[in-house]
Amino acid sequence: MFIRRKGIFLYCILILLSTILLLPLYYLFITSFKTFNEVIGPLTWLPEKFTLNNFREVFAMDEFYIIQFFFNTMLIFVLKAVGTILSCSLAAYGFVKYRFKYKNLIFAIMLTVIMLPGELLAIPMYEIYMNIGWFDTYKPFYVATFFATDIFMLFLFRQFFLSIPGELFQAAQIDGASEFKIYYRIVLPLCRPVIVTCLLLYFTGTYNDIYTPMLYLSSTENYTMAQGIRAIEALFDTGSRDFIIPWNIVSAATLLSLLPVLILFFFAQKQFVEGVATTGIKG
Amino acid sequence: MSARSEIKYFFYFTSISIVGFLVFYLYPILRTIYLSFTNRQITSPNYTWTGFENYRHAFFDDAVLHHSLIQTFKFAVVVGPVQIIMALLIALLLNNKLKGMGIFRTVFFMPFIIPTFAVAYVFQWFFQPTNGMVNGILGYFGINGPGWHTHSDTALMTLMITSLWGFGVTMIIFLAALQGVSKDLYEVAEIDGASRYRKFWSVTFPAISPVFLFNSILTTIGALKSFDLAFMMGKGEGYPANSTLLYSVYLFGQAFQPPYKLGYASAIALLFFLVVLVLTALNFLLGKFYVKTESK
Repeated sequence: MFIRRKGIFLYCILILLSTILLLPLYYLFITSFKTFNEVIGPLTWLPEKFTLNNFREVFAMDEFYIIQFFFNTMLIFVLKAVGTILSCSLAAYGFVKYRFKYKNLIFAIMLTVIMLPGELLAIPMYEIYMNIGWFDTYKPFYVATFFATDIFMLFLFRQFFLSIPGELFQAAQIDGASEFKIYYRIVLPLCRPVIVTCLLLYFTGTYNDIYTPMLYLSSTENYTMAQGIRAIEALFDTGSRDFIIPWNIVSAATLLSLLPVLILFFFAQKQFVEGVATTGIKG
Repeated sequence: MSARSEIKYFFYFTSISIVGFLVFYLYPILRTIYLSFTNRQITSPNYTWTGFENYRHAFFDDAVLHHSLIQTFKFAVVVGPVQIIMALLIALLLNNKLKGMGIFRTVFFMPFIIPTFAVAYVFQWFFQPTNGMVNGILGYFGINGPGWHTHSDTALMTLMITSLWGFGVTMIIFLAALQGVSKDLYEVAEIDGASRYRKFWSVTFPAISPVFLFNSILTTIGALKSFDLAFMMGKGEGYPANSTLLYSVYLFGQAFQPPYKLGYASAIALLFFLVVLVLTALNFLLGKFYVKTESK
């Protein structure tokens, strides 16, 4: 009896907290189906006149190409993920497999930079990228990843290889496979769990990133989703002091922009919680 | 394989990462340190060595920088501890063995995965002074809601609330730690007739103290370096009236917006790195007092 009452009390608290937590999202959701007149009126809890016009408007807007933004972001994501998966697995394999007196020292030195904040590195890279004419291209996003610069992923790959019994590599060697063949025929396919973690982290990381696009991209066709959504407010700026943001349209666009992440979350929730939570970062 | 070819293959495989380290880490760090002693601007190819001028300016002249540092500390001092306590309390609630806890876990974690640029709009609309939901609800009780993010007195607070919405990741890390606490210890405590508070402080907290330290460091650094949300909600310039101008936003503006003062930005980036480093070390020192390590 006591336990039962405690349970009900607990449920009440949890439901109350969840409701408060989800209210902002609920408000976003209903607003994207409201008309402009309703949005600027008093608070309503359901759309009085349910409309899909806001979404039509989002797709039809000038200087706002939400589908293009999505594919731009995905292109950057794929390039970055390919770069990191190839280079980090290759390098990590080298660090684990071959004997060299100073290899652990080299790896330890490389690990120290993991705590450096990105801003410290961003300024000189900005100088270089601007000078060699990479402004308004995607190169500043992904070129570095092909040099195993994601030290955290390098670390993950190395940990993974350390857990694989060495006999497996030796067996392949006896069969006469060359060193690089062993790497891409046996080692790389084994890495699936690390690759999945990398893909998830990079998807959310690229999708969230506002810093890099703000630095390097200028033309609207090249915008990422984050940048496009950030710019939407300005599209309604008529120059007069008291312009009203059409929150119904902004909400519809925002809702569309977060759908890919939500869908991914519900399909890969377990990996998400493991991957994202163990690192404590969004990407 | 001979020792020689071992070394050869070692470099075949790792050279790419060694080059990457030199080009994308070592060079930028040295260059940042060098630039911090110059008056480099991206717009002009000529620049000169100015010694400690940038540092002197940062320490004594730049009132906006001091203001942004204060705003950042206010932000971190509130967001860090509140996020830790909130996450721990809710993790304790969810650690009860009841049906449906998985659903609640998902609900509490979900805000964290919403992209920050979307969160910014969700909350700007949620807190919108004239038509937003919060002031609408306050209106039911006859309360005239404040201007939230549009007013310089309340903007930083609004930013804090919005930032705390993503506490789910801290909670998940706590929850994982709580589920690893040995059941035997609780049983022993129960036989001894320990109260719930007693059980928490004598069994639970010591067991999760390493995770508590890890989370404290993570949230402190995260709060100090907070950029995305402040950049989005403050329109990149600490709107309104510099009230949400966190250090990283100011740094971004100095470096990458006209007049692109790369030299000065390098100096204040290095200074901030030192501040974060010192605070992280302090966190570790504090941890010495409460973290219980397994003794063997």
